[in-house]
Amino acid sequence: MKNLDQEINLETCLAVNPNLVLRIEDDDCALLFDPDQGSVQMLNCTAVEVWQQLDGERSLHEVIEALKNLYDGIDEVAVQQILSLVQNLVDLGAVGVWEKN
Amino acid sequence: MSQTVMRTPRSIDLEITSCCNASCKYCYYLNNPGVDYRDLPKERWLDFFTELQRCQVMEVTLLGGEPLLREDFLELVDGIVANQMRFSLLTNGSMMTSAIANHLKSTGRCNMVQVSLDGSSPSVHESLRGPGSFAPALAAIRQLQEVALPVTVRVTIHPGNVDDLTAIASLLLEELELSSFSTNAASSLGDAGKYTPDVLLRPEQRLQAMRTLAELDQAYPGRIHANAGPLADWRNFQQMEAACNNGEAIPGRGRLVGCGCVFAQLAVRSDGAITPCVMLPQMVLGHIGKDNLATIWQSSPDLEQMRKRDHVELKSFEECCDCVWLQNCTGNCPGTAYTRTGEINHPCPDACMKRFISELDEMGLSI
Repeated sequence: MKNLDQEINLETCLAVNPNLVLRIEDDDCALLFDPDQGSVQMLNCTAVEVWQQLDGERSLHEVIEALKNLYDGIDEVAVQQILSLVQNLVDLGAVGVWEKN
Repeated sequence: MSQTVMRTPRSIDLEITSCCNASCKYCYYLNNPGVDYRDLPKERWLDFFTELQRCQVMEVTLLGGEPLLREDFLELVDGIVANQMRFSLLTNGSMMTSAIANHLKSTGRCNMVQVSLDGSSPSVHESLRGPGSFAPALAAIRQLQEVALPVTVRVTIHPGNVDDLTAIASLLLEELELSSFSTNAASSLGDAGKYTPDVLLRPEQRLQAMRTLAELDQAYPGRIHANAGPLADWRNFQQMEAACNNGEAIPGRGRLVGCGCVFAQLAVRSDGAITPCVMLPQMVLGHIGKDNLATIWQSSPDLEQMRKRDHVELKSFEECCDCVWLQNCTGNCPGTAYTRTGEINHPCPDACMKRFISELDEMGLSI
């Protein structure tokens, strides 16, 4: 799979990088492990929820709607925080638009 | 007080073979009554690696025996890579080839290779490791360096090399230009228990090793590591002494907190038995392919007991209650404590500073 390095918007269908391992440590923390680089990023609960929603099938808008159905209190501020989080994950190469080779 | 237990272990030590082409006199593995000397077939390990991936284990360490004696060694490495893990390798170097070094490098997943080297010359290295073992170890280090793999060396300190430590450091850090090496000392496990006069450091030798390594630590800052043995003892002593002199207690100490391994890792013997640590081969928690790793990790009564060692106060032990370092001691390694005393919830007598200083005192020496 190849990252198309596409700029994200609400219509983008994002998927997680299949080469990374999400390791749930406990109820409060998860690690995003890149076995090729040996690097580890720490994710909080919110980031894990977002990560688990990014299936490559639904648009970011649909993902946010799904999160709104799961959790109360996701207002416009929270949506912006989610978008910022997703952009960070994209910048890390952890999330992207992937095409099959 | 207790640390949080993660859902699955982060790393696993895998004794992929019980076979070895050396017969080092201090081997903790050789003739250890806790070890069942049988090797699992490749397929069993590969199946287990898929379970490790499901458990999101991040890294494994391959050891033995001598891991490179397995003809399917590289297939096992490929299985680890295919299951999204990284790996380290502990070897005596004798079976290392350029092809193996290149394969390890090509995976991009090798954290490090540790080669055992105990002396700066054949006579010193081979005194306890056996004839003909020095040149292959040195050649292995060079082969690994040629392909730019992270390579380190473990020096096991014993009576035969305690006078050679400065030369060893010079060989490893200057001539071979390794970034670092680590030290430990033989302890009363496996064959070391049978050969104690040649193998275990006498008090005056332990003191000599501590002093020499402390000097080398100054000369090569940050380049000599130790989790056990004379250098670790020296650093621990310095820390405890400083705290005592300042009238302080090191936070979290004064209890059996000498090891945090059971909060992050497990080990698997060559026969597939899952144990808390390679130093505790007799404490079998289950078997790979039969028992679920995550269930063992979360529910094993033995692991639960070990994780509660930090509830045990050192003042509850008669030999500790009048110790000046009572509030600053960790009780040290549970594995050697179990071997020496038969109890997990016991401080390790081998690492006891009070006892060591008393032994020195009887000899007219002081730390």
